[in-house]
Amino acid sequence: MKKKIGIINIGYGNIASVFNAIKFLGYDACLEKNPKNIFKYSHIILPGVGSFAQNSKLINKYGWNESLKEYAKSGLYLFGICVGMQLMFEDGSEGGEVNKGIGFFKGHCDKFITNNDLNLPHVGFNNVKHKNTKIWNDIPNDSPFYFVHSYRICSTSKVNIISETTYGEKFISFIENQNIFASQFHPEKSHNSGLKILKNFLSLN
Amino acid sequence: MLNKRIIFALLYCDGFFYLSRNFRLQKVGDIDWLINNFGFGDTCHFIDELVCILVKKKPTQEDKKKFLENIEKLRKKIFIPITIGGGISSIDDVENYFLNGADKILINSKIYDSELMFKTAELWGEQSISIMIDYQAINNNEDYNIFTESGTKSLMTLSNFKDNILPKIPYGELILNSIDKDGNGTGLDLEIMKNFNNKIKSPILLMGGAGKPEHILEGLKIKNVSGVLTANLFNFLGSGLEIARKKSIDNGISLANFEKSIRL
Amino acid sequence: MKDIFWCKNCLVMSTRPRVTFDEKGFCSACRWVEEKEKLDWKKREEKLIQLLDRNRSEKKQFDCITTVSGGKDGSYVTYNLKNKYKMNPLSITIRPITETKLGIENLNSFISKGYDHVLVSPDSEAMRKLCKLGLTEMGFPYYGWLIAIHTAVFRVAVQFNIPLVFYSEDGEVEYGGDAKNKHNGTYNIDYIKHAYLEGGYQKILKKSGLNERELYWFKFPKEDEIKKLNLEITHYGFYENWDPYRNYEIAKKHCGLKENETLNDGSYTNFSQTDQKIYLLHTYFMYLKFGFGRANQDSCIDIRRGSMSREQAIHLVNMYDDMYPEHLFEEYCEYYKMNMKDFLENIDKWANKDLFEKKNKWVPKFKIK
Repeated sequence: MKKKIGIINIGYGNIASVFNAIKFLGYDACLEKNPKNIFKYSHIILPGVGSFAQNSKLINKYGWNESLKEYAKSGLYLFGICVGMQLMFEDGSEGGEVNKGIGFFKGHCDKFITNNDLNLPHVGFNNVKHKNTKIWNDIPNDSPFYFVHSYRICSTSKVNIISETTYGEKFISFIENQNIFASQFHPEKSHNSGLKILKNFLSLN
Repeated sequence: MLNKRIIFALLYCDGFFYLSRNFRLQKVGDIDWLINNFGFGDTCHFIDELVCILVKKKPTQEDKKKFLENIEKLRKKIFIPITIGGGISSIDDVENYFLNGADKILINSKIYDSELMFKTAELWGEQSISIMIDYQAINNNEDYNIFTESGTKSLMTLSNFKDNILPKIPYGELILNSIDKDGNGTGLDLEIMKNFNNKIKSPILLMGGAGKPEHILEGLKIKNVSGVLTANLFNFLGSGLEIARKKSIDNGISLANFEKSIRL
Repeated sequence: MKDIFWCKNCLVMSTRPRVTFDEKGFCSACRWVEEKEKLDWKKREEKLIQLLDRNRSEKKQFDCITTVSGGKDGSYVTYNLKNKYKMNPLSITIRPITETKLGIENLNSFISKGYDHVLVSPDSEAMRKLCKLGLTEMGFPYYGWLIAIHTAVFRVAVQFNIPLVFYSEDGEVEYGGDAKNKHNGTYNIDYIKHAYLEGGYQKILKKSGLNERELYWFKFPKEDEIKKLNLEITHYGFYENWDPYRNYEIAKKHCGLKENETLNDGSYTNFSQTDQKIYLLHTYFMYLKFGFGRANQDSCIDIRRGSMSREQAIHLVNMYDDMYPEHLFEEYCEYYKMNMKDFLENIDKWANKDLFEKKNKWVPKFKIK
């Protein structure tokens, strides 16, 4: 039986691409609006396009905050993409105010420090230096992934395994801790490597 | 290190894809033609992004629906960023494009509608907005005129735009599209970059005039250019994009190395 | 299939009549492009100005003739002679056979921009007979028209007493042929007969059985008429670096030129040779006789102007060159007053069996390298 993969739909992400990618990989992809249904899925993806402020308000409004915490506690698999990753931290300053995140990881999401030598947003394919964890299976180190963001996370607690990317400074491009994963880049937009990392995530049991 | 980008643009109208020469359109083929001759799926392994532009003047909702259906057919097997634009007249259009596969939207005529621009940025983030200006040189490249409405309405000069519009709008990247060079095939207008020696805050990309792989390389060599776009179907379909990418990498341009096919 | 080969730079084939190749393997047209880069164009322009000044006169209504079709090249030439060089050109069109709606529109747009113009419509029966003979005797579908764009133009020159005639460009020099005239500004009728009329002129006229009256527009003026007029025939392309695509850009900007909505049959372009449907048959015969068609022609121009790589051109030629204009055959038969069987047999007759073999239609035995 195909695994059911839930893609959280709060209305402002480009969920179509994630949906396509999951389906392409042979899984049963479902867009999910209701946090109460969360346990239908063995894997959940939290996509994100837009500002941290916007997304933060919405996940709180619809009660995703609590549901996701429960889901993660139960050991099921969770993957956050871009703003979805940022939401997994403590808070973020995009949108002109500080908004709360879910808090799976310690750290804050702030704007890249530019000294006028850095174009923002950070957009295009940049390389990710990763550790050899299961989710990176068969993906060479320093592979390029697609980024499009102006805010990033620089530091977190040492318990988390991080992968780094350089854009003016080193920032966290990927993070994992047991059953929770998150990428600042968009795996569904990153050609073969992106599909591979999704495939590895979805085959976790 | 952030890589530069090679981007292909598809121009669509009424069920067909087009070639443009100084903004005069030549019908080329429908989606099946594109898939068969462009090897969609394969070709996309040699580009960083795909841009799909609805080039019809005053498109109806039905036109936009068909446009998105065509993009849907292409999207199924490609996993690269897609920008969708053309015909955006309201925030509903913006939402519609995002819901139908857009990672970024392309705004041209509506750059000057600050309400639309700010609302879009608020909901989807300013990094989701690519703005494109169509320009034509005046007085021997002393300055440039910016046009909207598919190159028919002259709006303001480039200097005016840079000083008064650009600093005040939210956007992610700026695409400079040369009307004079459009479809000409003898190379991009590199001169325009002399107007951007003082960097603006966002990435700049060039479009208009590429005909051979070396033209793409020439554009990418410029320090402040983050990427190059071409919509020239005939000059790049087949192996043109693959060769352009290889040539650029061989000449020291930092471009992402993709695998030639999907192997999982 | 004897050793056919292609130019190392563009895609001109060794089968092309009168073409030569240099030690690099570059054809005469590509060699010419290299030479053009080092040419003293100022000197050439001076020659043009001298030529024009010799002919310019307040007393004359028209001081030169240009040959136009409403297409990009003639429009470009006339536009320059009138606006840049302040001449008073009379532009002449020899009515094409199998006219297209777009062709007529373009011609009218051109004229409406303010050009004096004469449309010569030679006797259509005579034209038909000569074209048909060209088709069957030489594999040249519009031979009658090809004759008339020279002979009829000179007739007008004599009648109006205009001693200077501009054609657009010397195809032999620009596109790969006998480039002997590349440094000669003016040329003569013998050159026309040899290079443009492919040496079949006398034969076709004789075979036509047409009388003097019927052949008026298809015969050159008498020797003494030409001498009296002091006729000078020249190519505008001699005096500046000829670029067909630039001509298109100017013609579309200033002379109202419109393109075809979609690709021209047999190629990937839409802006040249759009005025007569017979052109498709002409390029098809060219393909069957020599191995290269319209897409090859267009892509060679693009390669030479630096807008396309040779590799990409091969791709396009493989896609479009073998266009089979079947959808127009009935119209062609109607024009020639020929039955389909004879028409098709004639095609078979002219297909070069060294290069092609017959399957459902003629299929190339060669592959472009």
